[in-house]
Amino acid sequence: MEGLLLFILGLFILAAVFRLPFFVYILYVFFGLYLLSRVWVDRSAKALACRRDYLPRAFHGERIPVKLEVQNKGWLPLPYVRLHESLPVRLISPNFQRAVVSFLPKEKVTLDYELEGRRRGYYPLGPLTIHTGDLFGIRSVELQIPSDDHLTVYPRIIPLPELGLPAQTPMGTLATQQRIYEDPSRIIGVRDYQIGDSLRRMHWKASAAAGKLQVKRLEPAISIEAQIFLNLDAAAYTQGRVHDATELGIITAASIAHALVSKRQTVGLCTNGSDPLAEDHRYITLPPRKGTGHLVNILEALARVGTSEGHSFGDLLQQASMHLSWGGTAVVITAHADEELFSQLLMMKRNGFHIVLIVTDAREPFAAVRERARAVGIVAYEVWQERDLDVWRAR
Amino acid sequence: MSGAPDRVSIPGRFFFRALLASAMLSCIGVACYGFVRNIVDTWPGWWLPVLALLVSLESIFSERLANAPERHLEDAVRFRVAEAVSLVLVVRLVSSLAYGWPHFMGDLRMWTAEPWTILDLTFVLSTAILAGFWVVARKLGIALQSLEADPFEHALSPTDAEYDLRSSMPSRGLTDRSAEGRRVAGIFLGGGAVMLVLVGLSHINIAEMEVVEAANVRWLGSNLLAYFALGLALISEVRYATLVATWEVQEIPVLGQLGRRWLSLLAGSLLLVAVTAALLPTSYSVNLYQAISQIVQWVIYGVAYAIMLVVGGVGYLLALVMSLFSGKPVEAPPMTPMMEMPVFEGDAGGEPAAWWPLVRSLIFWAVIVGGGGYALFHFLQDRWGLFRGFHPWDLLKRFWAWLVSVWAKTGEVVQQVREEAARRRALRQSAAARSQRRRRRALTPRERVQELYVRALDVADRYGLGRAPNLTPSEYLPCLAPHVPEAENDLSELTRTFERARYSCDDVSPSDVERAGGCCEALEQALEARAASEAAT
Repeated sequence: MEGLLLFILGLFILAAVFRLPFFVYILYVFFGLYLLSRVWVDRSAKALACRRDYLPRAFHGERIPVKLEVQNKGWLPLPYVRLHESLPVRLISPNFQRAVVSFLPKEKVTLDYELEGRRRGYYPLGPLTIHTGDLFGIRSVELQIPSDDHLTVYPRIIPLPELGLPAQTPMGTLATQQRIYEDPSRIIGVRDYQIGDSLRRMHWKASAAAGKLQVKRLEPAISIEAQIFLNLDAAAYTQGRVHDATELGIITAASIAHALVSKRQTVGLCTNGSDPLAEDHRYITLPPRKGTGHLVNILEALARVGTSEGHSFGDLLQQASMHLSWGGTAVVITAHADEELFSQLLMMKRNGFHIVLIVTDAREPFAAVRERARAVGIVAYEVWQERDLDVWRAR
Repeated sequence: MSGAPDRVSIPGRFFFRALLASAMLSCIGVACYGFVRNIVDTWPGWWLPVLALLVSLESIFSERLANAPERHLEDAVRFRVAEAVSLVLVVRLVSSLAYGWPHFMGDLRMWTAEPWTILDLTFVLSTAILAGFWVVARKLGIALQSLEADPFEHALSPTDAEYDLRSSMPSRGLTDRSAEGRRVAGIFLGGGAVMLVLVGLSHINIAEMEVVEAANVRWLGSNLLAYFALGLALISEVRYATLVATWEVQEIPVLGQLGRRWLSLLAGSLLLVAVTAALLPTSYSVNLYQAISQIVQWVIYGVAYAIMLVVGGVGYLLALVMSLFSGKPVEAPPMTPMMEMPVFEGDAGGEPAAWWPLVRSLIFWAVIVGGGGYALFHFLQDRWGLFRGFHPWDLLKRFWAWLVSVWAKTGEVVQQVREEAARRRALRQSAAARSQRRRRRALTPRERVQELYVRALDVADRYGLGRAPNLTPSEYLPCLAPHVPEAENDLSELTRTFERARYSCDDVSPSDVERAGGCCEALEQALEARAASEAAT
């Protein structure tokens, strides 16, 4: 209500001139309303708090219900509050949720909405912008309730049940009969005794329980690892295909990691992409591990990661391959294979690694690349679109 | 046009708003009546507030009807003319009927005999006042009508055929409802100001020109309160309607019982403020200075009393501790005469006044001063941005730095002047001392000759014919001689005598000194004469 202060001033003058008690009373009323509105709105707006109830991780295509709970923690009611929840446009359209509510003291209001994991990513939810005011239009306040809530949408995982990348050895654990490679501290089960088994490997308690000789099965001491190298340097991709090719690379990496972990193999991830959560701009490196927990870590990293500028993939290969165990498999996912990359892959091959090359943005006929790779014992695939991953599904 | 709003039918909320606005204007009519009655107490103007209410209602609803989309221009003209004539007739009949039936019948007879007598002063003034109400009510009607959400305002999809048309419309075809809200608030506050002036003037006894609270005008205060209550309710309703329409246009869902809660909160807040204001004193019996001094006295008394209590308590505890060592029982300390509580002296002087009027006055002044301070604080706070680029502290600092630099430079200059003065003084002193020293001892004839030659050089130097440092006396002689041809011999004599006295071992007699003195004087006279002749030419 514009001009109210001016009116109060005029009223004050008239009250002083006429000295009529009810003029002073009206002055009190208006000043009280002015004061009440200001204090009321300012205080009660600050007493609003919100909380989001949702699952912070989702798979691609999954629908994520979110409950936004807004509470008035103060003792003053709010006549109206316009809520505006900002949301990622990639998850919902339009990219906001709005509602108008009123609050009694300590009242909670819940807003339900649903997000759809249309694209992988690490998305902020909120902030919640609230707009409130008094009953007479004297005072209105708009403020934001900052939010630390994020939603991680994992990249699309294409089931690759028949994945068997290098022909020489299966992915993961290297089969070995030499006991020097077995770790006696890691028993993974028992089996029936066979002639030639050492007596030191007998499991006497299990033998007594089973009524026949049982031998401990030990986990191999040497674990042959698979490491996925993902090139996300934007400069390596052709300009018009940066987004599609990198996304395809990420999907391929996620699918391969999932396929390997589901086969109880060891897998790691190295990429030169940028992670919004990383404080420094170093390479993202997840050392090879087993298990679903580790797969989740890989998927989260792949969900967050984006293209980077000026982070050389060659350096990444050079640094990361130094920590890879002998006999391990390096799955190299990159834009295209040039001379420099081939020379590095060849060096890795000579150092005892098995190389799988996957290109997503080939700049020359892929048949030539494949022939060249085959000549040096490297398996090469081209993934131009998701359907190309069928090569592993069909096998 | 299927989406056009139905302007002809009157929804309940609009009727409610129109009733509030008309009742508000009717209160102004009551104030007008009270004001006129204060001047002409025989005027039976009770019908003025009633007609103000009816005229306002008619104006608001007729505006709604006139703006119906299906009404054509010629219909609107006929509509307005018929409306005006009807209203004027009603005013004429009612203003006459107010004096009673016989008077009305007499007026009828007079009007038929002399039609111009219809236009008497009371009728014209009443019609003018009511026309004012009609105009204000029409403005309110326009504002209230625009508060309703128009289906045309709903956001269109970019693929919609009318999207481009809408985009090219002013404000994208949206109504600025907040402007309409401001208009209603402006009318309310303006009407309130008029009411306050009218009611204030109604309380003035015109004969004695003083404010009175007579019983016959006391009801005007209630009317004033009713006006503000109705106005605040209307403002709140307009605010609510504005918000709801905006949300509707923006397609924001409204959850819960918003309207009901709004009404409850409005009633509650108005009641709270009204009751609180009723509890506060509306007048004072103690002026501000007295009230403040009384508070200061009480504060001083309280602090002193607290200090005395603490000191007494500590003393008693110390006495207890000392009694443990001395073995004597503690005696009760003598009662210290307490300070007397400051008593407020009323206007009678010397007589203690009742505390309640004092407390009421204190509350009154606290509210007034607190309110004024609060308003002033927010006035400055709201305008603080204007002075954001203005840093008085920086300016003061720069001014101070300038003053310091000026002071320092002045100091330097004064120091230089002092040093120069001291140097000159020292030179003068050393020259005087040297001459004194010379005077003190008797000079030999040889030294006297040398002194005379130096004096001659000084004189020549004074006339611009000084000796260059590289010239020997013999070399200087041909340089100076052409300028003083009449004293050339004297100059030669003086030079030879000086060379003999200075560079030879020959004796210099006092007669040589006398001759040298004469040559020196002759040279001085020649130089003086030369300077005079040059000045003359």
